[in-house]
This record gives sequence, structure tokens and C-alpha cells, in this order.
Amino acid sequence: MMDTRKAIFLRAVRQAGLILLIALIAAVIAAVFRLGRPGWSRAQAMIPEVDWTVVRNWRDPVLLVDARSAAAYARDHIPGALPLFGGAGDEAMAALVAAWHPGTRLVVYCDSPRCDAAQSAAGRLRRELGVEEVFVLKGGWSAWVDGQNRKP
Amino acid sequence: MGRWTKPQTVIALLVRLVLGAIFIYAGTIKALDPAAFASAVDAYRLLPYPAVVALALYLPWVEIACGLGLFRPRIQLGALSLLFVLSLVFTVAIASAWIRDLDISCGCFGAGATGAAVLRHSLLRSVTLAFLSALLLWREQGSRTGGARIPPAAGGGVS
Repeated sequence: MMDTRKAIFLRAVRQAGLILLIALIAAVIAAVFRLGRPGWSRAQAMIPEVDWTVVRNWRDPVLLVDARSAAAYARDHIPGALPLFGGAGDEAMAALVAAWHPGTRLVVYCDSPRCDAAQSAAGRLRRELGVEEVFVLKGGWSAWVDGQNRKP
Repeated sequence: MGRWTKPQTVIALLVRLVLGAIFIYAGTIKALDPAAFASAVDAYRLLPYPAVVALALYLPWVEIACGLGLFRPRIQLGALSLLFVLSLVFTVAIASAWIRDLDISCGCFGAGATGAAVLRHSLLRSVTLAFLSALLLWREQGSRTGGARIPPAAGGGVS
């Protein structure tokens, strides 16, 4: 009984190794032939973050993009921001494209410093729309609200 | 471990089909957009960036290979074992993100919605996947140790 168990375990390991090898070959081939593969450094891949105080003083036109949920956007959002509904809707994307003009900077925000939706949405905007001037609002919605409360 | 009755064989085949379809689908989506997947993996804040990129380029193909492997009798056992281990790893990763209160998406099927509710849902799914692959693994292993060679489930042998 022990022997058959050991044999089965070894067979599973052998087969798993074979599968991992096949997957490795496929992955290497795909990585070599695809052009849009991610860079190896985080700095290359991450969208730069900007503070709201910096954004406010920009002279170039700015288009704010809300990457939070549809419900959060409906409750409240930064004035003038367009919704992206968590980065999933194609209609929202079309509305964004319509609102964007060359020279306009995109600033994407999500809920808080611990959210990732803005980074991934900004990355998607840069890849799919080819817009270079894309930024992520540092601290997101919560930092903007704090800023508004502190101002008066 | 005696012979498996027919309903169990049918259920096992269905489970295998579902598991295979899920992993082939998930792998394909991610293999088509490794940059988006890298960003999703990075959001978990568990790995250094070069490892994130390597994983983003490799993991989708492992999922596809495992999904396809479920239907090749010669590597079925290995594919099931890998799926089980993968599901466990996913479960731990998602649980850790949930506990750390990260507002991220699962990344399981490409870009998606974020938030604690989404992560809870993803967690439930990965636990289910782990359970299903464990079930099939136990059945597969049982059918071998039992001595009675049963023919591979209909459809599973077609390859």
C-alpha cells in the first residue's frame, strides 16, 4: 500500500514537472514574440503619482477620471471627473475618449492610498489610448476630501 | 475502494470539464495581456517586481497547460495536483490581501472590479476550486490504489 502511494506521488510529480516544462516553453515563445510585454522595472510600469496641490496649479487642461465603483461615483466625486466604473465599462471608456483632446492630462483616482484601481485603470488608459500624460492622484479620493476640508 | 458507480463517473467528468474550462479561460485572458496581469499581481504587494513580471508571463501558461492536461490521461494526475496546489496558493494570496484590507481586484480573470466584497467572492471561488481539485485527486488516486483499473471517464480519454 505504501509503495503504491509512493509510486502515485512520484508519477504525479513527474507529470506536474512535464506540464510546468511545457508551460515554460509556451511562455518563453509567447514572451519572445509579443511586443507589448511588461518592463522589468517597477518605475517603467507604474504610472507616476501626483499630489492634488500640484494638479491644481497645472496650466495644461486636466481631465479627472474616477476609477472607483459606480455607487461611489454616484454618491460624490471630484467636480468634473468622469467615471470609469472600476475600470470595466467600455461605454465609460468611449465617453472618456470623446472628452479627451491632445494636450489634456489625465489624472486617475480611486478611493484611498491602499487602492489599486487607479493604477490599473491609468495603465490601461496609457496602453489602450496611447496617452502619455497619465497620472495617478496621490492618496486618491480620501486625500482630495481631506484637502477640501483643510482649505477653508 | 470499489468500482465507482455511474453517477459518480458522470459528476467527476463534469467537474473536470468545469475545472478545465475555468483554468483555460483564466489563463488565456491573462496570457493575452501580461502587462495588466503584472499590475494586478503587483497590487498584492507580495513579490519583488521582477518576480511579478516573471510570474505574469509564466503563470497564465501553467494554467492553460493544466487545464488542457486534465483531458490527457497520461498527465491527468500531474495536472490535477498542480491545479490543487495553484488553488491553494491563490487562496492564501487572496486571503492575505483581504486581511490587509487592500482595495484591489483578484486579477484572476484579467482586470476587474476591486474591493473587499470582490475579494471575498474570489476567495470563495478559489477555495471551491481547491476543494474540487482535491476531490478529483482523491478519486483519481483511489481508483489507482484500489487495483481495479477503471476505464477513463468518457470524453476524458478523447485526446
